[in-house]
Amino acid sequence: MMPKKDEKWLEEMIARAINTKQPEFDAEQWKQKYPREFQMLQSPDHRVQFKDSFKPLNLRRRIMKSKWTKLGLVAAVVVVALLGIWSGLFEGKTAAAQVLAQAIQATSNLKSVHIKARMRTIANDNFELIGVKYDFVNHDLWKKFSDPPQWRIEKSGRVVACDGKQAILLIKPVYTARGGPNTGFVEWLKPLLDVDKVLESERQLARAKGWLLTLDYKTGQDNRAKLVITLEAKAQGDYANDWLKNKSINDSDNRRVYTFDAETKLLEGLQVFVHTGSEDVLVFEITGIEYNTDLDPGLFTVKIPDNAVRFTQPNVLPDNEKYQQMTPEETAHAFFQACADENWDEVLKFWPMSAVDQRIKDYLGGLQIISIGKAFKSGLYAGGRGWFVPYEIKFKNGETKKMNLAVRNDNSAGRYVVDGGF
Amino acid sequence: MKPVLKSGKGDIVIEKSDAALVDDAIQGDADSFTELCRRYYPAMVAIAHAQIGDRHLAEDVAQEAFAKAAGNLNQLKDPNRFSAWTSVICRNIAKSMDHPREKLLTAENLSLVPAEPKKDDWSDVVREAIGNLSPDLRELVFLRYYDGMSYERISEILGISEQAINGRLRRAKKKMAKHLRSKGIVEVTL
Repeated sequence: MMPKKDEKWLEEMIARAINTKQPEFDAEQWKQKYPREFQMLQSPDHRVQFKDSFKPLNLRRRIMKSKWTKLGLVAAVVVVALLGIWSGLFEGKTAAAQVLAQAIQATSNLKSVHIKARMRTIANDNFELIGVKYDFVNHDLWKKFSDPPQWRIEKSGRVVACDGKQAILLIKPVYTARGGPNTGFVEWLKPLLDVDKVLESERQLARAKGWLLTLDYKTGQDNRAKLVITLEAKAQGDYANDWLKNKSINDSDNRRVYTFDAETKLLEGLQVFVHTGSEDVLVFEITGIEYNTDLDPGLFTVKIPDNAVRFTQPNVLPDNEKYQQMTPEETAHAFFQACADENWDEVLKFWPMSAVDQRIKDYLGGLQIISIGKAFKSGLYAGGRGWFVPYEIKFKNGETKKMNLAVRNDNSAGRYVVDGGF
Repeated sequence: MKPVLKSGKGDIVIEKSDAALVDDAIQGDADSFTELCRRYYPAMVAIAHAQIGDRHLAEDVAQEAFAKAAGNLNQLKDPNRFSAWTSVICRNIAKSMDHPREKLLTAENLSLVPAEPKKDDWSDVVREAIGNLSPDLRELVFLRYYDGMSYERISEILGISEQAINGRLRRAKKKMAKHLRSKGIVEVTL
């Protein structure tokens, strides 16, 4: 005989089955994930943009000391510049709206793009990482302008592919993760694939931030007219501790030099120079770009190895509260202690993955903790919910390592987990 | 959402209406937009979760919905309807993902349901019953039981009357009860 229950029981069971901790919106994380949309919001006239007409200006590189002068001029400079430049190409004055419409129309028929680039980084580290002392690593970026768009970004140690529905990351040889199309696996590189929007998005960013954006006109080696747009960008975060300074494009003061074909408005080149204080170092460069080639559909998937180890979201533990109460320093200590004890189940509580693979066990197992320092924040990391914990450890083979362990608690379990740095 | 007076620690705080926040956001106050996101994030996650059955992907979808809303805020004709408008965006993104509802066990996936649930552990069976609901009913169930959202709030988000919500929830519960009974597991009296 079946047990009998009432409606209240059913409602309790539904709530339990759905089993949700109420999700909380993390504004900082969202701003980082969607910087362009956020910048658009900050642009007061984003509702009526490009509806005004402009007077032509004499375009010169200039330094503007007044914030408001700068803002106002930066706001106008690209569109006005386009008008000025294109006045030689088009008869009479052209309204800004028309110019933008032409640019959009020129790129609206794009079917695909393949960008070859090189970046000073580490092959199997994250796509955001740069270092002025690192060697260049070749990158390939593909995008099919389908609905939804499909794309792939690859360097020798890491690949992300999105079939339009989900993105899969593979850190070679075996680490993998999946997420939505906008999951932040590729950070700064993904907006670059929006070659049809990059001109406008950089203009918006310059306008919102008050950055200097200038435009030159030159003749290319192919004897075609080129637009060269230069953006002087500033590092975005708090660098009271400068650990993260110059470790990503967004964490650096840099100059971005875009080259567009003046007639087709298609992106043809980009160079990014980081200002270190003493020199300008080229850290990123487009080395080739092809439009509308046939792309193999297989590009937009990644074959996951059978022995793959998945990055996962941290689950709420039965004793989660104990871990929630840990400081970043305590988290770092507990993580390393679990490695020292080779207690891999405990390690997984701090480093959410489907398993600890043998390479990590060999690397971290049996280590000794020499010291754990005071945690600090730097730059934009984890939208302010991430810390770096200085540490020194000694491996089984006798070697020692001093580094900063990255921990963050912007997850639904609400406890610090290890994000890298060992 | 209408303006609300909230009292906490002796202070009276006036929460702005959705329309006021939308207007402020359009004028360039990004914080007003993120306040709207905070206000409706659980609802958007619930809507996406009901469609795709994966909580983490649902959070991605909700965030993307807000990004799309941010980029198209000038197309929102009635600022009072921000939540309804964003829920449509969110639902469409979730549908376009066409992700298998792997965590809502389906009839084809019965092997994952324990034949004899442990005492007081009916979650998998109930989850299966939720998974068998039509998408619109499932969405309503998620909204209602994600964090006990009121009929009034659901009405604003879905743009349907509270009476209609009551009727649909009733229908959903009856279908779930029927499902549980058909499995010979439990008799629910409604």
